[in-house]
This record gives sequence, C-alpha cells and structure tokens, in this order.
Amino acid sequence: MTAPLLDIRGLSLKLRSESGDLPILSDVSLAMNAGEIVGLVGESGSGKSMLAKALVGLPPRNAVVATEHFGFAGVDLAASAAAHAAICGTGIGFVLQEPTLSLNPAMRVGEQLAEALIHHRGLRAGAVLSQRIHAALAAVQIKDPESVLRRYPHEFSGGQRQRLLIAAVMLLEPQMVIADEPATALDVLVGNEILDLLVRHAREKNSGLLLISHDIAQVAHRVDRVMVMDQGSVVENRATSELLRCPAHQRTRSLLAAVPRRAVAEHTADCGRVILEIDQLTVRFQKVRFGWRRAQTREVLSRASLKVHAGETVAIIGESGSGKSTLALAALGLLASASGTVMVDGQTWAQRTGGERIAVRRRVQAIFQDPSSSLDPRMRIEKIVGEGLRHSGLSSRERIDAVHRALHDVGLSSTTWTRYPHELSGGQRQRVAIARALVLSPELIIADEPVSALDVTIQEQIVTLLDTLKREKGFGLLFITHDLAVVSRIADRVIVLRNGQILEEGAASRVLSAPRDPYTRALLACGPRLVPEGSGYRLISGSSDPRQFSHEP
Amino acid sequence: MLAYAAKRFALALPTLFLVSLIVFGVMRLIPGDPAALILGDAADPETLAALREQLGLNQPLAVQFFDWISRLLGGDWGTSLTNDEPVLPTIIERFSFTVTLVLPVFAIALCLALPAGLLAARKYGSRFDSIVTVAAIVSLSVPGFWVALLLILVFGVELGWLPTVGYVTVDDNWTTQVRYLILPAAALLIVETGQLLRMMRASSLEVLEAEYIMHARAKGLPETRVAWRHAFPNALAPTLTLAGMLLGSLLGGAAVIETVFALPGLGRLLVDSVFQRDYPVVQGVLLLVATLQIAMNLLVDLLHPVLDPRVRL
Repeated sequence: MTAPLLDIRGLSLKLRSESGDLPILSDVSLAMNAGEIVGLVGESGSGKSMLAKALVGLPPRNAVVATEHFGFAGVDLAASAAAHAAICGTGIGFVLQEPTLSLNPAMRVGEQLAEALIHHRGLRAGAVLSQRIHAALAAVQIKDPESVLRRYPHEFSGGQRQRLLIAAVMLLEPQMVIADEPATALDVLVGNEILDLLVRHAREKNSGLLLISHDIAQVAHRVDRVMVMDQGSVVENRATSELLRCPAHQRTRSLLAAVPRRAVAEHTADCGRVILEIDQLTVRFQKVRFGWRRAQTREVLSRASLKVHAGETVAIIGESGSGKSTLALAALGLLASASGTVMVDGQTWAQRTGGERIAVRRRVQAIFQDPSSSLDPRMRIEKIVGEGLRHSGLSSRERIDAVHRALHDVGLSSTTWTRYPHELSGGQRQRVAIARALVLSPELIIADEPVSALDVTIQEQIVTLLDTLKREKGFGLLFITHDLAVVSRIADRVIVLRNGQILEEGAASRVLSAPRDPYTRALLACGPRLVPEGSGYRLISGSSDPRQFSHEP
Repeated sequence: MLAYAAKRFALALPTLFLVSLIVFGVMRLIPGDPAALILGDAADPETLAALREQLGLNQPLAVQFFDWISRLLGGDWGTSLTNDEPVLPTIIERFSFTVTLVLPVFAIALCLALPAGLLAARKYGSRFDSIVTVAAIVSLSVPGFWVALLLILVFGVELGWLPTVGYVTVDDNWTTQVRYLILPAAALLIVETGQLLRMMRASSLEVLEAEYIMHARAKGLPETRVAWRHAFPNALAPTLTLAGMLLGSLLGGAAVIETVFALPGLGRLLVDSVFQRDYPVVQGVLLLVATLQIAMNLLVDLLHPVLDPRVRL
C-alpha cells in the first residue's frame, strides 16, 4: 500500500489569550489517500474549522500549532513554515464557508482567478491563461465567461460566488481540497449542487476532498469515510456505511439522532378561532436613488393569502429571497407600503389607533433568527424578558413572577437568569428570546428561521420546546424556515413560498408526502436521506433533479 | 459615473447657495452698521447716508443678497476695510501660500501613514507596531502650537539651523523660501500624520482578518501581493474619507501653525480679519473655506467607487 497523501499525527492547537491558553485541538491524527473523499463532521465549537485552517497553514494569529508529524505527499512539513506555505493552493486547495465574504470585493473576478495561475504556473496573460480559466468556469457551470471575468464579486449571487471560488481553487489543480462548510451559507438546493460539484470534480481529477459539515446527513451519502470530531479530538473515523450501521461514539449517535427525519407526526390541531388573516397581500419595494422615489419597483410578495388559527402551527417554507421574512414583517404590522389586508383578531393594523396597535403588539410576538443579535447585549436576561411587561399594569412582584415563570417554561435554570446574553450558548439565547415572547402571553408567535443559526442537536431541542409550549399555551405559531425537515417535526399546515408567490398550501402530512407542485417535490428530494434501521441508520438516495429550480438570476 | 458626478455637482450647488446665505446672514446679524464702522465715530449723518447709499445698505436684504452674489460671481469680492485692497486677490495670494505649504506636507503624510499603517497591522503586536501606535498617539495628543514652539526652540534658537519665523516669496530665492518652510511643514506633518496612521492601521487590521484575505493566502499567493493588491485598496477606502476631510480643513488654513510661524496663509488672514472686524475679508474667506470643504467631500465621494466597486453610482 502506498503512503497516504496527507498523514498527520499528534496535531494540537492552542489559542493564546490573556487569561491563559485555550486548548482547541488535542492530539488529532488523520490520514487521507489520494482521491479519497472524507467527511469531517461535528458541532460548532468542536474544532473542525480550526483543524482545516491548521491543515492549510493559516491558523489565527494567536494560535500555537504543534504536530508530531505533518506529512503531505511524502514530505514532512512540520519543520518548516516555508514548506507548508509552498503547498498552499497547489498542494491543498481551500474552499471557505462564506462565499459572499471570500472574494475580494474590490477586484474583478478575472484577476482573482488569474492571479494564482500567474504566480504558481508562471503564465502570462494570454491565450493559454484565458483558455484555462474558461475551462474552469465551464467546469463549475458558469456561463458567459467573458462578461463574468470583467465583473466584480458583488454582482453575483451566493451560489455563483461559491462556484467562482471553487473555480479559483480548482484552477491550480491541487492534490486535495478542503471545503469548510461550503454549503451552509447557501440555500438548500444551491448548497446541494455545490456539494455535488465538489465531489464530482474530486472524482474526475482523482484528488482528495475533505468535506467539513455540521450536518452529517448532508455529507454522509457523498463521502467514503466519516470522521467525527468532538471537543477538539477525532472520536470516530470509519467508512460511511459502517459508521451509519453501528455508530460507536456517543457524539456520533447524538449527531445522527439530531438529523430531523421526515416521518410526519399526525398533527391534530383543534383549530381555534382565526388569529391572523392575511388576504391578497402584495408588497413592492421601491428603488430609491438620490432621495427620489422612482417608479421602478420589485414585487417581493404578490397576492399572498393565509390564515393562522389559535393553537395551530403554520410553516412557511421558502429559500432566501422568496419573501418569507417580508411576510413576517407584514404580519407584525411593520410594513407600511403594502396592498391587501393583514388582520389580527379580525381587525387590520391600519384600522387601529396607535394605542390599540401597542396593545395588539403585546399579543403578537416575534422570535428572530439570530439570538446573538436580537438580544440587547447590555441587559441581563431577566431584564430582557421583563422589558415587555413595563407599563403593563402589573406590580413589580407580579412582573418578576411572570418573568421567572417564562424562563422556567423555556427550561432555563435560575443560575442563568441574572447573566448577560454573551454568557449564554446559542441555544440558551434562543430560549431567552422565546421566553421574551412568552412572557406577554401572546396569542400568536411569529418565528422567523428561529433555529437556522443553531447546531443540529440544539435545533431539535428548540423545535421540541416550541411545539410543547404551543400545545400548553395554545398560541398560534407562524414558523418560517427553509428547512423541510424541521417543518415535518412541527407543522400542522405548510405553505410553500417562492419568488413572492404561494405555490402550495395544505396539511403538513399531505404536502410532505404527496406534494403537488414540482418545486416542492424538488425540495423534498434533496433533503436528508437517513433512515433509522436497527441500531444504526440507512442511506437512501433522492429521486428527482432539483437543478431546474435552483437557477439563479 | 459621469452622470453621477454631474448629479453630485448639481447637488453641491444648493449647498453652496445655502452656505453663502448663512455667511451673508451672519454678517448682517452682527450688531453695528458697516457704514458707521467704515467711517468711524466722527462721521456726520450726511456722509453716513451717502456711504449707505453707495454700499447699497438702504436696499431690502433680498436685493442686497442678490447684489452681493452677482458681484461675487463677477469676481468683485469687495475691498478690505483695513487696507482698501480688493479682497479676491488677497485671498488668492494667501490661499496659494497655504496650498504650497499644505499639499506637500499632506502628500508626505499619506506616503508615511498608509504603508506604515498597513505594515503595523500586518505585524500586529510586534515592536514596529508598538512604535507606530505610540507615535500615532503622541501625534494625536500634542497640540500643534506646542510642537511648533518646540521646533523653533530646538532647530531655530538652540541649533540655529533654520529661520524661526517669517517668510520670503518665491521671487526672492527658491532655496531660502524652502528653508523658511521646513519648520512649519515639519510641525504640520507631526500633528496631522497621527490620525491617518491610526485610521489606516485600524482598517488594515479589520481587512486582514477578512475571509478573502484567507482565500488569497490559501491560493498560495506571496504575502506582498496579499498585502498590496488585496488588503491595501480595501483598507484605503475608510482612510480616504478621513484624508479628504483633513485636507479640506487644512486647505482652509492651518491657522495655529501659520500664526506661530508668522506665515501669510489663509488661516492667519481669517484670524487677523476677525480681530480687525474686516467683514468683506471674513466673508470671502469663509465662503472659500466652505467651498473647499464641499469640493473635498465631493472628490472623496467620487473616488470611493474606484476603490470599492460595491458603492453604486
């Protein structure tokens, strides 16, 4: 057997800080053969991104990396930083997570693609160079290369930028590619294409691929082998099928268990009265230039209608740009320029006086996507939750009781109540956001992507919590998400939104099992494909080709 | 781009109009009759009325204003009350002096601050970085007149290398002129570089942490290219905004430095005319200073999209 392409033993990484060293990776060993496709999964904070950066030799400034052996293509790089730098790009290519941030905004795409070729291969601007770049763009399915090369990164969508980044990496024909969550910042359909593209390219060129993800379902069917990381160590490292059949480590099992499955629970919502009724809502955004409103408008929602009853969970599914957040804003009465009606409790926002509107706002609460930015960092948890109760006519004793009840209901132990948001984890913060909504005893909660910023295992907990609370308190829940699997866990009814239009609406069980719209079918086909079987899991492959729907403008 | 420039230019005109209105208004709000001021205490009512007639002071304010504006546009900025010189040539002369002092100083400041700021950020926490940071803080905190006095004391009085105060015109002797300008230029440089340095270092630090820098490095590009082609233009944009504002105010006269070194610059002209209640000159200088500031802002705004194509025109 030949020596592995990448052979690392005993890699450890510490972050220096004023309060002492913080160990991030300890004694990580990994080996990859040429042409092997390996998945690296773990929760955020498990150290997988840091490992990737250490592998490409670009750890943060305050990091101290030590390795016993760092072999790449038969050469030990541990001794020399210069040797490590020399494999950057040509030896190991690196695809970063956030495509919108990974291209230099002030440089034309063409130069960014060409510069590394010019540096490494000594090519001059000319026919050979442009021929190579055109070939690379064709390989990542970017059309019209001439005009693409002249444009700047901000003129492309996230998916296209990730394609351009992959092209930039592939141009150097590296022996292996490390891709750090390359699909996480993208919509589901686009993200799947990007992953397929990476895998296909690796197979064609017989180069190695290390695919990093927090979502084991996303990578499992694409990779030969899975490594699971937990708290800075690789805890499991086995062939994919074996790992799925009998996961050995506790962390692997919890990652697998957290993958939301589409076994639709039979939701029996006893529909109460209508709390929210949106009728023929159309929202146009106007382009404003030089302070003058122009007639140019873009329709972000067109004639959308929906109802939410008390005690019912309505899920709105859509990708970014589909208008789902606009719908949430309109439901909250925060959009002025809309035609159509939004009625809460039988009256539109516009019909109410200012005082009435404030009273209604108490009954309609919102939970936002990113709890780290939706909580005031200067306020303690108790104060954040209690703020909405000011001027509510309650005595301070009653207010404190209500706050504690809400915090208790969302499962936060009393030790956290007097802390600040930054001292809590992401999941705890989202619990605080839920408590903040809950404390006003709302009749309707609008949750805009409440779990997409969280780890898979935490997502599960938060979704369960929202579902339980809804059953206990009987509020209506408008749940906005791009993730079908989450929908199947919680929704009574599902609304599929695309380009501002409602494509499909119906009972969750019906939409998820027998979707009528082809777009819904495409969405369903590319979701997670893990099915529990015995003590482990089985992979199933998708059916239809979602590609036709992911074309971006 | 051209259409945008034209639009921005068109939008600058109302601003200028507003500025002129304010300058005109302020001069009229100050108590006292300009005619009485010109003639002094001894004026008899008849001469006073004649002068008011001649100055147009008996006209309605609106008429006076448009009269003033149209004369401004025609190049007649009035005459100084103290020495009867026409205002416009005086201002132009003083302004051209300020430009010859400020522009080279500013160019040198940029040439020092921009590379040093970027380099300090790249070598964050190193000795070079500490030196740069301390130098920037010192430059920001010491007052200009104190630096000027210190320079005069050391290089002028103690060492006797350079002349301390005063100025000779270009016509006299080119090298002598430069000798007179070295100390004021050094004082300005010391005071003004700090802000640019600090801004450049801060924005470089931010840019160097960006994902696209990591992407560039991961492609195996040499560090010099990463720094100068990728980091520099992106770090320059915020610094440029500051630089434009700084230059605008400096061209309006480095009043303190000019006063300490007794230089015939625009800033000193303004200070002197205020003390002498020389209203036509004060009006003229204020108008020029405001115009400069507007022009610099316009220039910076037009340069911005060159550095950051995301800024739409």
